[in-house]
Amino acid sequence: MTSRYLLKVENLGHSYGAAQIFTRVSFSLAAGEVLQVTGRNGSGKTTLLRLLAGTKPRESGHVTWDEDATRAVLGHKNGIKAELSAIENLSLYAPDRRSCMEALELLGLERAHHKKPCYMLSAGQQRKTALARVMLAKANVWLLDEPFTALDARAHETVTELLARHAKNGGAAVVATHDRLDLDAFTLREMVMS
Amino acid sequence: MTENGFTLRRYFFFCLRLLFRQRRDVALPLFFFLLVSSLFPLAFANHAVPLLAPAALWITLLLSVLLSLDNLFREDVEDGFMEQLMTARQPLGLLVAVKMLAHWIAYILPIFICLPLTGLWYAMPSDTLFVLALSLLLGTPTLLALGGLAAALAAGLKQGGTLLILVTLPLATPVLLFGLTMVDMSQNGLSYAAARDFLAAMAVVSVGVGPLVTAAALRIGMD
Repeated sequence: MTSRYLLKVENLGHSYGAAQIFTRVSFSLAAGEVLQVTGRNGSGKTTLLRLLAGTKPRESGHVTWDEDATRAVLGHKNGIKAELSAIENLSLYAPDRRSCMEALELLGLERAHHKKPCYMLSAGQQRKTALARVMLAKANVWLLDEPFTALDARAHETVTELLARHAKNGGAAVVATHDRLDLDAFTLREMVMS
Repeated sequence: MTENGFTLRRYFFFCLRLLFRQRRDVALPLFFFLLVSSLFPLAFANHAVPLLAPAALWITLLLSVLLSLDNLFREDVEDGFMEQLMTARQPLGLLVAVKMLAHWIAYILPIFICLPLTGLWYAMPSDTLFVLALSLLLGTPTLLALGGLAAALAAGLKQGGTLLILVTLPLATPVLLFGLTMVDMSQNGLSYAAARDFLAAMAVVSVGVGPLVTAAALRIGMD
């Protein structure tokens, strides 16, 4: 494992009007690490991820990305188009149809569902499609907001395995979740938002 | 740092494919244009119809464009796709420009294809129809840019559609006036070059600056 930081956060803070959500959040993330962000509802987990993703303007603090860092984002919402099939949604990120199908099958979305419009898929199947998009992005930093939402136990296990594999291959991830991540102590780091 | 990304070309075809799947929604502004523009020849006396044609078609097209813009960004914000666009490797302004081009092809190009038909309804001479089509061609990029900006500002709002119309209509008035001036001068045998050049200049500025401003509005709206 290398100690080179892919992401460094210093004194990050955010408020909504007069309400300060969090202040002085600092951490760094090296290749091979998965940072699990936990905390009660409204503690700022999603806001933190959006600040890291750059979809929300920073108020204070610094976010420094390594020049080799590439990021893939899974937000609260899936970011997939309901009228398009899973394969068509993924084709935006990976033109190779086969790799799209492999990613979907790896996440447990059966081939029969690949060509159905996403509005015909269950919430869990749509979440799997969104997770497949993260995999196909071939980014070394994954920013995942509640990735296990609507997933069954088997898919939960698969996503955990994918996270472990991603870390083992030199990737890193920030995962906001209430679920316990079953990763080894060398990989998993935890941060509680309060 | 670089973000995960997709090419502009792939995004363009992705937009077109999505618009094709939403073809019932896409067809609505076209039907609106055809339906409303068919009412004027029925409502007015025969001799007044050719004189009325440019204004009737321009206003109907303007309203059709506004009708089409309601969903330009709203769905992307609602389903989380906007977040993907914002974290893409490509600048958001370029992605907005690509989306608007696809929008123009899906919504406005069919209206242009139907223009000769409406020209028949209004008994318009072919040269007037040509100048009208040219004025619409030069005017629609500006209309789209203004409407796109309003759609970006209204994307996260519940009553966004109404706001879009209220914001865009006053801003679109100069485009409408220059478009109509162009046709009017042509009908009177005068040179319409000045109005044409002004519309073309507005189109160039709109295409160049519009997507950047719209991208900034989207970022503000996402905050």
